[in-house]
Amino acid sequence: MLRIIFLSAFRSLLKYKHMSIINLVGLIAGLTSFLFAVHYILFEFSYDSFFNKTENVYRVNLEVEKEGQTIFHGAKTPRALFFAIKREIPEIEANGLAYFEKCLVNFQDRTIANQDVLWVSEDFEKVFPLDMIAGIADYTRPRSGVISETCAKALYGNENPIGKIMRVNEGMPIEITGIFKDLPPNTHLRAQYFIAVKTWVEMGAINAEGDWRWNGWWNYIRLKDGSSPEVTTSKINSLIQSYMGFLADDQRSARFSLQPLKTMHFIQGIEGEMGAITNYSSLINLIVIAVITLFIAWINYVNLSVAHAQSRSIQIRTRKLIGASDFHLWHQSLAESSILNIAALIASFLLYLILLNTVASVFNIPVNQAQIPLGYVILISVLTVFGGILFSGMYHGIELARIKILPDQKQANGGKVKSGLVVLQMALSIIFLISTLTVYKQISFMKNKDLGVALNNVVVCTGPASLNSDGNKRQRFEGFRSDLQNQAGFEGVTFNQFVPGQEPAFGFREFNNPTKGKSPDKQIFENHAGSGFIKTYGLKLLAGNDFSENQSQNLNRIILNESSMKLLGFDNPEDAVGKEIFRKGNNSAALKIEGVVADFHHEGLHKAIYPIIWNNQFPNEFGYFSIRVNTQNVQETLSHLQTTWTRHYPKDNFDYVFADEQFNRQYESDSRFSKLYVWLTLLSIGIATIGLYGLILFYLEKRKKEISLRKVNGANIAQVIHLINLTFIKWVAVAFVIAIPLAYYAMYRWLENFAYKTELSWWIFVLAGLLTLGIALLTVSWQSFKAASKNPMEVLRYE
Amino acid sequence: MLHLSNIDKYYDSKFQRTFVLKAVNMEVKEGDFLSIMGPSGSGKSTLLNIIGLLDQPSAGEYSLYDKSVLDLKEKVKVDYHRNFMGFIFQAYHLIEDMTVYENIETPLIYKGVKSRDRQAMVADLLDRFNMVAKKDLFPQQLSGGQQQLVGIARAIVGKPKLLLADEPTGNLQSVQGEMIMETLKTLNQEGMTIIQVTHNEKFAEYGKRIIRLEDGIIRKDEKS
Repeated sequence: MLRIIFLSAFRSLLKYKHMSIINLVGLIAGLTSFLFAVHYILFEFSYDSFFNKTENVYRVNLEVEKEGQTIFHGAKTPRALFFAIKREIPEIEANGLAYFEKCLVNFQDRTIANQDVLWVSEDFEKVFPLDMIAGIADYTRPRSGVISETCAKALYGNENPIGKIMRVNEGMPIEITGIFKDLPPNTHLRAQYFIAVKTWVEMGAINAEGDWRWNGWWNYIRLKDGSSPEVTTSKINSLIQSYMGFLADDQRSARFSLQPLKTMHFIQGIEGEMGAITNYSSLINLIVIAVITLFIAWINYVNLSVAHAQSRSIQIRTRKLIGASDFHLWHQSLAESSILNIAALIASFLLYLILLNTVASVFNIPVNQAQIPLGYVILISVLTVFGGILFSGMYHGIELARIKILPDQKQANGGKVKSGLVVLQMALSIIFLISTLTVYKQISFMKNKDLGVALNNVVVCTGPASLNSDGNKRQRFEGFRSDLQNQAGFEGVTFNQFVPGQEPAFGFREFNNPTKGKSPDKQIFENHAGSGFIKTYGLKLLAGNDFSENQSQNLNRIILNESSMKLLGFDNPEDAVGKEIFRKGNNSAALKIEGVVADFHHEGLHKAIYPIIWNNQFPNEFGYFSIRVNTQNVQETLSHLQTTWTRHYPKDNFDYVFADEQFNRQYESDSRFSKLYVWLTLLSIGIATIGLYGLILFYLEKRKKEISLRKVNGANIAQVIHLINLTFIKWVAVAFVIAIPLAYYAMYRWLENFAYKTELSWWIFVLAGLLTLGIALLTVSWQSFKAASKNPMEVLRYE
Repeated sequence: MLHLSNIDKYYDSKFQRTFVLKAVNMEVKEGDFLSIMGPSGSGKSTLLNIIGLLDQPSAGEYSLYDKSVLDLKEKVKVDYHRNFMGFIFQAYHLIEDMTVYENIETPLIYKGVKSRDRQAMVADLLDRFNMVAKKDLFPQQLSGGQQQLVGIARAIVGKPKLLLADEPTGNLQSVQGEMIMETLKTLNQEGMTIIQVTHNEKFAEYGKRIIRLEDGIIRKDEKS
């Protein structure tokens, strides 16, 4: 019985090739994109899952409150917490401490800049065990660490690095004790090197026991099996009473919380993350869009097979007459939909395997390096396809069951095609178009908005790490600067701790302003800047001056942006200039306000503009040098710059980036998502369009007699086309009405992710509606023209 | 076996009632071979549809073996179609995606007959109708007469008591038509009750009895 059901289903699929091809193409396109979406989503959800017993690993976050208001919520906590947890919390199996730094490393004559280094405590290995290729990871010895496989090759070439000394930054000697397999892209840990933080203790840079005041470290814990995270949290919080009494002096309270490792990739709004955060709602949108694309392909199948069933209704009736129950008819439609879906699944799976690397590189997703278990992809896709078979087979089966053995008079007259699902498809297409247009509008808005800072033609160089502890580094910078300024093509040269487009990793402090009696409970980002930074970055000076070229005049002088000026209670820039403010705590010297600059976007438009204060101190580590170039020939100017750099900083690589490129990198994730959305949108509209094309063929077939009769009675071609197209115009109109509120709501929610957002303009909605109408009419009109221009006698003769 | 009394079939439109059948009384005994004749629109097909439980009369009584078969549930009707009656049509209505063999086998599948029994039953009929060589062909590859033979085979493979034929020779040339009628006659001789609707006076004569319909009323009911 099964044999004959499948055989006859197979034959009917072969017989109606057009329909089967339309269905197959749609299903393969839908399924392939679904597979990629599943792969990508699995990738995003697989973050850090490869560490053993991930569920036991947490990071300690800190929230500080004053008068019920959260004034700080960060991922970084004091270093002393590490020792206290180790000593006093029995629930933990191990805990670890980490500090991130971009470093310069060298071995003999090889130097590499901008390396990701994690300085870690002993036991870090027990929290995050590495996959060692050679040697061991042992962070108990100062001046030792491990290196990733790739970096080992780059730095040591063919030599065996184990036991060899590499130099870090200003020349710290670090002995390599092991090589680990590169961390996959799906981890929040950003490190090519893990080096014992004890090195710093031994060097005297930090003390042995840590302090409780500076929130500069990531504290991780691994709980013992079965330990309760709630109990542990409350025990960790009891440390606040013992050690952080100083908070009460400012009427503040603090709370530690444990953030599970697996949520770290998704939770936004925590300051000081190590890894990139993926916007959860963008990801959910992606899932929804991928499923809908697939769904649209299934709707094609249902629409076409229902239309088809009506045209082969005689066969269905015969089957019923010779004793088929509805159940038997279901078998038949289930068999047809199984064959199509399974064939499509196999084809899609091959496409997926073949195209994975290409798709990953087109969309700039590192998925192909991460180990996504193929089994999951298979499981999810098989389950989904099974669902699709059931949905389309059942729906079809129900439609078949509706066909009466004896056609009833009313039914026989109508040339009706089921419009509900077509309208649904159109509505989805309109929603997709509206979403895509909005996403694009937002991204171009972000890229084109006046940031208040001129980033074009600014070259940003990573500061010379080899001079970190060199007392003369400022003098050397001044030498570098005056050298450049004596050459043509260089307009402004300045230094900063962090430049626009970078999230400051540290430098947040609180200030008070006794003149105005203001002591805001909000941290202000205190940056370093050299004289000329206003000119270099094209900032607008509202009052006062830039820092003097004469360094000695800048001592304890600061420049504010408008936001910090307002936060500190000044009425206007003129009011602020010349006044003195103080850093809170540690008996700060009076800081005299030298100038006020207009607000600008230091970071991307996801974030609101925040208060910044600049002082004229030279960055104590690295920092960045920004140079405004004014030249026709960028390459030549860059090579002059490099020569000058090498003359002044022979030990450090010339490592640069253009400021605007660096700034736009913040939108990488948005660009990626928008690219994915656009592709899926185009794909789903394509699938819906071929479905519509198939449907119009059936529709015209059913109405051909009516059309001929109209023509015999004097209708001209235009009138007939109008008549046919009117139906489709009506459908688009209904779809449009359904789509608008849904799309509006979805996009309104999406735009809430941005502090600065574009408007949801009316023309986006109209354009999406018109595009859909245009596509539908284009699809339909050729066929309706053909039908309308046919000689009516040809049709009627055969009736 | 089959009894119709006072059967009316009418359609109501706004101002008038149009009768398709009016006060039809009819009895068919087991082993009968009945031909229903009449001009177009006389209600023959409607009558056959009512007998075949495909249509409901507007008024009157219809019973099979003294059991009323009006207002039956869909399930019971399907049972009658599977076990009690078989149909053949002017346009054959074979399933195009199935071979001759499969077409004949399908009703048995729907009926739930076991695979081995099916094989035997289908083989018997193929043999009887000399179609063994054609069993793997598709309907389109056969002549009209052969297609109708397959139609008959499909209708009788489930061993029904009653065979309903709606213009079975309507699409056939006379030689093939005669072959079909001979087949029906033989079936009847073997005990199958047959009711056919036909236009063709000569083929109507194959019946043991002829009913003539005119405007929905039985004008004549005579032995041939």
